[in-house]
Amino acid sequence: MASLWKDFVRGLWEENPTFRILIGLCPTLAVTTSAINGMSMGLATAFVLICSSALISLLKRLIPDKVRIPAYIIVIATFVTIVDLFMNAYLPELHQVLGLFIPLIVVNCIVLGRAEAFASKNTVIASVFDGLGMGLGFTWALTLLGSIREILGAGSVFGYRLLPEGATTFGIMSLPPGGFITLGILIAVMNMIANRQKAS
Amino acid sequence: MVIVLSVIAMISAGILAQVYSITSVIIEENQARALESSVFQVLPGTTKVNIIRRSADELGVDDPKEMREQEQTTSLIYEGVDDADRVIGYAFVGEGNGYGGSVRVLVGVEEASDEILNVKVLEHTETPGLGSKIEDESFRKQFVGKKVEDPLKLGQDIDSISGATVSSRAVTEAVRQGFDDATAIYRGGK
Amino acid sequence: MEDMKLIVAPSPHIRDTDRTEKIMFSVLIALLPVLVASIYLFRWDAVRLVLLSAGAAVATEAIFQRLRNKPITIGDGSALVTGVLLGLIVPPSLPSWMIIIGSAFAVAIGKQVFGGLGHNPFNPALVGRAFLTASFAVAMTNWTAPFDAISAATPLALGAARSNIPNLFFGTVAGSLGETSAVAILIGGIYLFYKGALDYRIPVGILGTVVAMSLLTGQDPVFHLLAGSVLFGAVFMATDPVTSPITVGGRWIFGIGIGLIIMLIRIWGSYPDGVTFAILLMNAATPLLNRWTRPRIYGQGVKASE
Repeated sequence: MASLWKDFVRGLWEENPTFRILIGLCPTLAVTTSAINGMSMGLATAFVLICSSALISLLKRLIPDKVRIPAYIIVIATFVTIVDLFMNAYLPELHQVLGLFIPLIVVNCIVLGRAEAFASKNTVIASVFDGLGMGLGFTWALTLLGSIREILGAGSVFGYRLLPEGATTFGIMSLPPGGFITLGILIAVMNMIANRQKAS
Repeated sequence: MVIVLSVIAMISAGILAQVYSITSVIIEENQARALESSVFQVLPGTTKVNIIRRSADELGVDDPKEMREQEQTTSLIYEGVDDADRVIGYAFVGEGNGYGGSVRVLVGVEEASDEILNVKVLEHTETPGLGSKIEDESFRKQFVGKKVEDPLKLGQDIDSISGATVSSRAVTEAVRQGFDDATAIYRGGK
Repeated sequence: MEDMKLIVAPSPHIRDTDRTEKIMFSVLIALLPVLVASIYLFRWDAVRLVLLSAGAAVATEAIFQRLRNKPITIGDGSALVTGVLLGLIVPPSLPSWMIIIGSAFAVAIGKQVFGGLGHNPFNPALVGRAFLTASFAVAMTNWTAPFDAISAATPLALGAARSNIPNLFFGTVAGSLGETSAVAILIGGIYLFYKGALDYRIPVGILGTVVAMSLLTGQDPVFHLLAGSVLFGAVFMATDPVTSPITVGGRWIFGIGIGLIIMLIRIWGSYPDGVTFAILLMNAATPLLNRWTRPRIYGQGVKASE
């Protein structure tokens, strides 16, 4: 199943939603103040993405074209609410930290975008693989961004202190401008790598 | 068209209702347990918590469901008693405006002296690495021993965290805001 | 040469490198009194900060342009000036590694990322300072007194009542390297004006507004002129030709706007000094000011007539 593999790998690098397609940036910047926040957000989004893509693909023939957007939104919102409730029940500290951004997964461009662009036109299995690839691509992007910002801004990574207590940290990295700057630099680096790949 | 949409919506609502009924119980229990353990932390030695409501003189029963409903308001006083039913002190929730949103703290006050025993940050969305330092022991222990009459002014009585003035002020505000009321209710109720 | 594309960019379109070098050289000469004063007042810290900042700025520009395979333009002196300026507007006690990072950031992100000289919307030295303030808030507010480098409060923090005007004029107060000595700045400013590298309108607009606002709010205008970095900003920062308006009217509005914002921050804001942010904010308004004050072309009326 070469094409399924391709559907999966695509989201990890070549069409990485954060670094190459540049979608879903709002939660990316807001939530990546630490590595664990970034990773959790990524995984929650990935879960929603896989489930909603699968279901939408399953129902693609049943949903009339005119109401497809509202229908997709209901499906996505249902999964997001499930994630929200389960997180609140079983992972309350994480839920509190991510707070408002969990419900905002509904309007994350990545989820609706993949539903429109892929799930509505492909098989269920393919949609699952695509969702998996995009979701994991988003997750590693957010984890990387979160790790950098956490190391520079708070001196720790995933909660493990790297710098001694009281050492000077790069305050701006924990703030939104730091997020923008880091993201910009990472995109530049990814572009450089991609260009070099193309040249060879 | 309309039928499809309605059917999808109804199924979604049905599923969500199920999930909610399963999880809401757990969520309530979590919150009540969290609040209870917080009270234990700010009133050391407590093993049981009673609730005092603003309107009545009577002590309420610590039913988890009731605690959760009322937890949203800051007009509740929590009384901590130990195994021998001796009153250790009382605790109240205070709220202040931080850099990234509301900061809520739980303050434990000793019964005998009306002095603060401990302060715990219940919830905040301050900047990790900067404002989040209000959770550090070194910052919080500045409040220990303060009384109702103390002004709690930032820069004078309380040192703020370098680079996190707004977050620090939020905590002093939160403590200040609830302290007068709480002491009045608690003493008045007796 | 790249493909012949039609590139749309903001003016100015004709740039003369010969003039750039001349202007930069004049600015460096004009900064000499300030540099001498700061070395006299702050000793080794002055030498260290200015040299490191200038070095890092020039190196960053060279590396950046090399990586992008563009011609290396460090010879035009603009990165050098940025570095020197940044060194002069930070606290003397700033650690060396911080000024290097700040300077590199100022040139890389404040200037090169936008396309190099002439394309940056914000004054690069001020971008560097704002970045440092946001990143290392504690180190950037740790002021020391001249001569003995003991921690001290700046005149603006102390207030007019506790400040000594002659001290403010000659510079024996706490502050950043460049801002303290008013007399040195004024000498530099007069030199630049004489050389034609400075349009008087912007500094006059700024200082005039500062005086007016102080009088209106019952504060000492002389104090406000001499304390903090108003003079330094008015002479060396706001007048950066790339980031200030090109029209006469625009420059007046620019200067007045900066003066206004400085006083607003000083009187009602939570920072003691507002020069950095005032200039950066007005930098953002420059394209708009350029558009609003564009001179009418002869023959084209404001209203379409017959």
